Amino acid sequence: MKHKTILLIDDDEDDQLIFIDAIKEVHAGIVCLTADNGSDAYLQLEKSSPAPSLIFLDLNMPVMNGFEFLQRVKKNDRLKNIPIIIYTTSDSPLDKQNTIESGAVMFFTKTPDFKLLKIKLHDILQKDL
Amino acid sequence: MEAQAEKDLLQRIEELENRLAESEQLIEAIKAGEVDAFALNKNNQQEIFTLQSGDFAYRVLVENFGEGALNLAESGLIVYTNSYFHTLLKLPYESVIANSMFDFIHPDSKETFQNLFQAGLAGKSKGEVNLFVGSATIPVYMSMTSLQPLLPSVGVIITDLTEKKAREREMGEKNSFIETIIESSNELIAVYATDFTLLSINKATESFLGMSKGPMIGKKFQELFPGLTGTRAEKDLEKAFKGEFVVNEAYPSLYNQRYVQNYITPLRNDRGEVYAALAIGHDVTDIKRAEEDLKKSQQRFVKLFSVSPVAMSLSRASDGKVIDVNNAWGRMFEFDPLDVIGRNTEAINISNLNERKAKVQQIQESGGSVKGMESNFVLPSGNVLHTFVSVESIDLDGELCLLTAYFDLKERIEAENIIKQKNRLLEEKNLQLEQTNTELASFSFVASHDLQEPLRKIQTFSNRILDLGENEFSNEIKDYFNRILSATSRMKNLISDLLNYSRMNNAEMKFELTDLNGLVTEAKNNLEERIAETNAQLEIGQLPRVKVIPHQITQLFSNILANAIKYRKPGEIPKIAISSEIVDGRSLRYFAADQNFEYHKISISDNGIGFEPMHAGRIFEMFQRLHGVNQYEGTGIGLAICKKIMLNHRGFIQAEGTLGVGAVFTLYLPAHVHETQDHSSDRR
Repeated sequence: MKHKTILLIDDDEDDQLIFIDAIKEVHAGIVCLTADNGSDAYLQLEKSSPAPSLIFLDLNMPVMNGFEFLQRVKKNDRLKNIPIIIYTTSDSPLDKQNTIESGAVMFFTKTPDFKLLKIKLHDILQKDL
Repeated sequence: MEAQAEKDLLQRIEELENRLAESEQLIEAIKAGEVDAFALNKNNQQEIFTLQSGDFAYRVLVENFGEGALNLAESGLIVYTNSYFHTLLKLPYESVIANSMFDFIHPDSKETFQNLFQAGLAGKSKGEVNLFVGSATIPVYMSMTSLQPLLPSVGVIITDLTEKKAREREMGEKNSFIETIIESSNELIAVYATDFTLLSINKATESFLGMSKGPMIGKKFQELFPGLTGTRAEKDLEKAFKGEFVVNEAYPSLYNQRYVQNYITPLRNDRGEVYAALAIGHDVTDIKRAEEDLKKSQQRFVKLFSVSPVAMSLSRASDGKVIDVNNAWGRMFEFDPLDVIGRNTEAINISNLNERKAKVQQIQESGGSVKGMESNFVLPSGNVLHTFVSVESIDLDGELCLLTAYFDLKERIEAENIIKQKNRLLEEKNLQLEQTNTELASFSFVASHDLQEPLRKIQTFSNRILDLGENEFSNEIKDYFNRILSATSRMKNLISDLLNYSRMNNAEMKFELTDLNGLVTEAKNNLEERIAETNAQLEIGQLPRVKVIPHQITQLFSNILANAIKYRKPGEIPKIAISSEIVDGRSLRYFAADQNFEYHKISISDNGIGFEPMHAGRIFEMFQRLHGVNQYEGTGIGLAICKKIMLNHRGFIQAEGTLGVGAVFTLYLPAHVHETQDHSSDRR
């Protein structure tokens, strides 16, 4: 198994619930940690050992949004190599461009289609990122 | 030889001198009456002349007579001449005496003389004759008296007329010169004898009176102008006859109502007596009429000034002293005009000195005329009078004066205040509207965005439930869940379109020169799935590079292409063609077309179900749908967005449809302004 621990940073509890359900059904062995905003996530990451091998990051969040978090992580030598996938309701090309330029590896727009979500997650977890 | 010749010559001179002495002695003897007869050698013939008798005194008198005295024989031979005559002829005595008188008569006068002489022989005769000596002609007057029976000869007295003739000639020349001047003069010239007889008038007078000279000359003034008898004209003439030089005042002629000013000069003869009066009349009618017109126009001005409904004042520029104000001024300024005239505006306390000086300066700088200068006055009541003045500077008897017209600005100011107030209200409303628009835009953006979240959750959990219950749920339950999903999907689209539409209002208007083919390709990619599903065929021509907001135009192409695919004819492969050309705004019959522009006309035609031409305008309206939701899904916002996008680009969109045949959507994007126009096209 490529990933043992992944981190989802999202302030939306419903989305966390659905995401975790989907991960469980795709790969039951993966531990999915969650954080409600960028700030919490950053604290969690600093303490974590080993660090999660993949981060799903929502953009629109209170306290510290996804953009700020992304920039902060990329400045941290220990954390900067963790692949970050943007996971958001936005389908704005601008958001996509900005985050990819800031070092995100993928831009994944949230889908209401649970089956499609599982398929996408399956693909992502297989990939070398 | 020479000595001999000189001797001969001296001898000859001596002889001649002796003969001359003899002749002189003889002449003296004749003059003295000492000789009664003498013989003269003439033409080698000796002739004897006898002097019958002679009174010494008489001879002396005749000899010294101031005129020529001759005695002519019947043959015309000069038997006696006094010294005056031969001196007149500039000949010596002996060259005249004993010669024929006929030899000294001018050939032209020979006949006259012959007649005179014959008459003289018979009794008496008088007449003018020209003598002729050498080359000189001497006019003379001859008076002949027969001396018979005393003597068979004629006594002739000759008076030299040379000087008289010369004087006469000179006078004649002078007279004709003066006459020419008088005749050709435009002045009216008449000469009256002291008994009022008209002696002469010139042409100007003839035409002035409308009478001809002939019948007038010789008639008396009173006879010619009975209407003037006893008038100044007659009295003025009388004064001149008494020796006075008269210049009369111009008075209108009784005959033609023209004004004549007369200069009457007494004419005197050599003795200083007045024998006539020369009247020179100067026609001053035009001057008089001009003066009268001026007077009338002045009167009219005074009248106009006083009754004018416009308040006016006339004042001196130097000290502001009021020369006149009219009644309208009095009403406007709450003054009795009589209290104001002669005082200046400072004195009546309606204006201050500096203000007036500034005004006068302004008037002078503007070349004597100022229009529409705002001017305020304090009235006796304390009220402030706002006026709008027009000032003309005029010269009155050499003094710079100001004619000022005042217009009360009260009404205008009130009207202006109303307009200002209305403008202020309008501005406020505009501001409110702008705020409302901004609020609405942000509201719709936020609302749409936040509406999407719960909707997504409904979709997500419905899907999750369907997924969990895939094996347990009856088809009925699955159908209901699918209906929930379908409804939320429609609502999601609606919100998404609304969001798009509201973004069109305040999205960044960033224009970039863009290849439209690239944008069509992007739109095509967005619709990849649907194009694949329907096997739609796109034929895309060469499109221009245009300054556009790229993502908006992409959206526009997406919407139109999606429409073309959505409204395809069942069972037929959708075919879509996109082409472009340049058209002149002037050739377009659309209200939205700007005549100053050239447009890229981009046509997107399809072979779909088309629509009734009557709906061509309606389809661009928000939420307007030609078909039921169940027939064709859609929000009714797509084409409204397209219209909005074209507006953002200062262009417009048109649709043509034929039911069952297809539709053509045409975009008109401004290309550039006509060459002939200036670049003020940004006025929209």
